[in-house]
Amino acid sequence: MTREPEHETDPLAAFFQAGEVPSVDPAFRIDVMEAVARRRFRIGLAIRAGVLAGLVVLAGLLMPVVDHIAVSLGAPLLELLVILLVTGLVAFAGQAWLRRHPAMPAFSLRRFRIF
Amino acid sequence: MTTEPTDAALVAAARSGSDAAFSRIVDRYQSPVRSFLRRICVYESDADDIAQEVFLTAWTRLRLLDDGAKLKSWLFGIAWRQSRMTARSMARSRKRDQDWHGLQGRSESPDREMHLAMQQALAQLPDDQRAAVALCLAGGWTHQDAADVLEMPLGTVKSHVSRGRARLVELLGVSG
Repeated sequence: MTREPEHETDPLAAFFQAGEVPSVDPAFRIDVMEAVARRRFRIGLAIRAGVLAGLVVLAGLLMPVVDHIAVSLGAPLLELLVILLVTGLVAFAGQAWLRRHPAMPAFSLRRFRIF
Repeated sequence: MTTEPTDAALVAAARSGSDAAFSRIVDRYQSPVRSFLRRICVYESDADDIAQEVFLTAWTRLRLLDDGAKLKSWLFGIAWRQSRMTARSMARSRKRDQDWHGLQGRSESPDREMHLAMQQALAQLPDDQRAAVALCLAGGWTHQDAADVLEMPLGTVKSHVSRGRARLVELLGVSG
């Protein structure tokens, strides 16, 4: 980005120079990064709430099928199935906790008026 | 000798979640963005709030930036649009007006006096003209780059800069 020639000899330059903001203001950077952290937290919360809501809906939809399977499997196999399900849920919760700083979304959540 | 990372490298790192990289972007561009906003906002107290919002918006939309090398003009584009949106909400204007007039009575350093004089003169210009002047005369941008940022035709920017400059010279009483 090159400067226009008029800038070099402009008598207004001193007036503009007087209003220049210091090159680095740590307080400003900290404010921005705090705001970024807050937004990241809200995005993460919204994503998890969405996933949880999806799981609840899915569980509701699958309930008749699960019920049918439970009846046909009988008590011993049902216990095994429950253990597997609980293990899966714990693994899912664990990986979610380990990745609790989510990557930025590829789309803007603003369009859904969440933020 | 250490070399500064390019904008494209910082954008790539920030996109992959590096707060340190985004922090460097903030440090690199906070001064020009805040200076630009202070010139185009009638109330200086708005400028830093908008600047913070600009960087926050940038963080949220970083994945939408096609070319990391265009980071600077992209940030200024956000700043320009953000300032226009904020200008429409004038809810706190009366309080700021009082703050502004309160400043006039204080004894100021010569620099501060020059800055206030320039702010008062800039406030006399229409919004588009003020933005073109802030970019081209104060920031040293080319007319073409300013036209891209402000989303205006090149001829309009040239005209804004020329007329704005003449008006500032007249208002500040300097020889043009």
